[in-house]
Amino acid sequence: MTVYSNNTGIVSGVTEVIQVPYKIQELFIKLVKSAKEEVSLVLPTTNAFNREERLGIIQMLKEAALEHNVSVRILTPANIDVEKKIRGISAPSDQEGQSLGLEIRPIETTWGATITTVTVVVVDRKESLAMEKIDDSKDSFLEATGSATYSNSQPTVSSYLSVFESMWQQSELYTHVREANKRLEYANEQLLVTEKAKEEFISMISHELKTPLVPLKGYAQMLLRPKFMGGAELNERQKTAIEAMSRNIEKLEALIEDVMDVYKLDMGKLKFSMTDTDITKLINETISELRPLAIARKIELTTEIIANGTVFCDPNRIDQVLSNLIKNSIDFVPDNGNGKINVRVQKERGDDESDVNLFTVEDNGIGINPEKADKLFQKFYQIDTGPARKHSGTGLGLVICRGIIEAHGGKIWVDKTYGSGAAIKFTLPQIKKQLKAKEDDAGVT
Amino acid sequence: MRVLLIDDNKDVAEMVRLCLESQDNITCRVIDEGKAGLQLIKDDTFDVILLDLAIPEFSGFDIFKALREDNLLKSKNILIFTASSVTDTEVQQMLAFGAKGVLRKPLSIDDLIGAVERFRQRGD
Repeated sequence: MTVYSNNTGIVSGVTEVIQVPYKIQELFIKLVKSAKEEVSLVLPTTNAFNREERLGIIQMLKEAALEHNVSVRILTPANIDVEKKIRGISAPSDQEGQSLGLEIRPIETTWGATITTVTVVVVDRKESLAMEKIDDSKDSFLEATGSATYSNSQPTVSSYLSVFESMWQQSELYTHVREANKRLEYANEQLLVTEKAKEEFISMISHELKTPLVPLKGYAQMLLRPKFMGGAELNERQKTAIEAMSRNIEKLEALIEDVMDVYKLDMGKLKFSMTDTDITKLINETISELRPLAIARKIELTTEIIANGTVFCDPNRIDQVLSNLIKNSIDFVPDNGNGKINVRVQKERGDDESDVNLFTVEDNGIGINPEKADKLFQKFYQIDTGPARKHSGTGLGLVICRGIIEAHGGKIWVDKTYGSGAAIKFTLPQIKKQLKAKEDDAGVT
Repeated sequence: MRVLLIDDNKDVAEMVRLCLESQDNITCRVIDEGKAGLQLIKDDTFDVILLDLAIPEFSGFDIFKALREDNLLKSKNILIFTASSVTDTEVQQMLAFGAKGVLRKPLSIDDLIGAVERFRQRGD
């Protein structure tokens, strides 16, 4: 049975190769004009889009969509030029900005390599025309096009259509991914803004808390020295009063430093300047800072460095930890000449079988109640030693120690098995571990 | 020797001035505003300039940047004088750009005097 298509006059059930570009162009225009219900068009390159636009195909499709309610779908690479033109083409839109009847979706040029090298049009699900390019750089359709395959054979048209549908769906997916990426980028930007605001806030709080101390500290010190006060000597009462002021200003200053450190730890904003650090040098520096205090209290301060070499850490922060632990010990060992504090470093095998440096600060002081040992690392917890309490800390020192050690990928704990006295241990991993806390990367420009 | 202090906190500034001027042959001029401070740094010569960072409007950072852009940082003895939390990296950067030192507030009067006296020239 021979049936003639209403549209083209070509016998149905036929697949025909056309070699003459002029005829291909004619057929293309004829097909598009004949569309009654739908047109599916793949324009594989930006150049193809531009050629078809010059040929008037895009305008024809727009009219078909607007005036004859033909559903037009075009797949073409996403590109700023094309998008600009599409905005022009898609108009007029309804109130919600939906284009009427004509929809253009972006395709990735890398997709469906075989089909996207050709321009394909499927009209009314009955006829297809696949036009092969010979030179995509040419401006005119006639020069760019090689041969074409026309078909009104249902299996052929259906297979083009199913490929088109799958690309259409993929494109939607791609658009969603792109939108999701944009949202992520935006969220990321917002996050950076928040992080910056946090840092500025911390800096501001620090500034506001410390500034009032500047004249207090300066004047208290100046008052104690006649040279700064025009030679006037203080009487004993005045001296006692100003010395007490001075001591308490120092305490307040230390407290502010500690509170700021805890606050920064909570916000994840305590900065670390990580570097390969000589363990022996690190410990000796801390010890030499504290030795005068130990000597003043007749305390024997010793070191046992079994693990030497280097460790990747922030030396100032580890000094802060060691110093804190040793000062705690100094406060809790006897000051009658029997007080002993020992700092030891040794290599150990960690939980995950990698090498760790195990630091121990041990003393022969009053010891730590095992039941209270874990609370020591919680905020504002200080073991109450009754009226004999000499400890001057803020109760934040060990919290900060834990924060610093954990940021280094280590652990800190009270050795509950330790005999008379107290032992606090912490580890620093030998290998460079991913830091929990951020490294100091802030910049002044 | 002549010292310039750029700081908007009057109590801080007066304490620093009294402290420094109690030393032999030190005069300390105080400016509480950034733009005027920058102009004075450019127009006049001081042995040491103490620069607070957190000054409203035209801040110490802005002064620092302006001096850096004009290649004046290295020839001026700028000591950063700040109560803000400045990280070690920021300190290293400011030193690399040509600041002569960073003083963190609050500080002892001995540290303050010591930092300034470093720049005393023979005959001052």
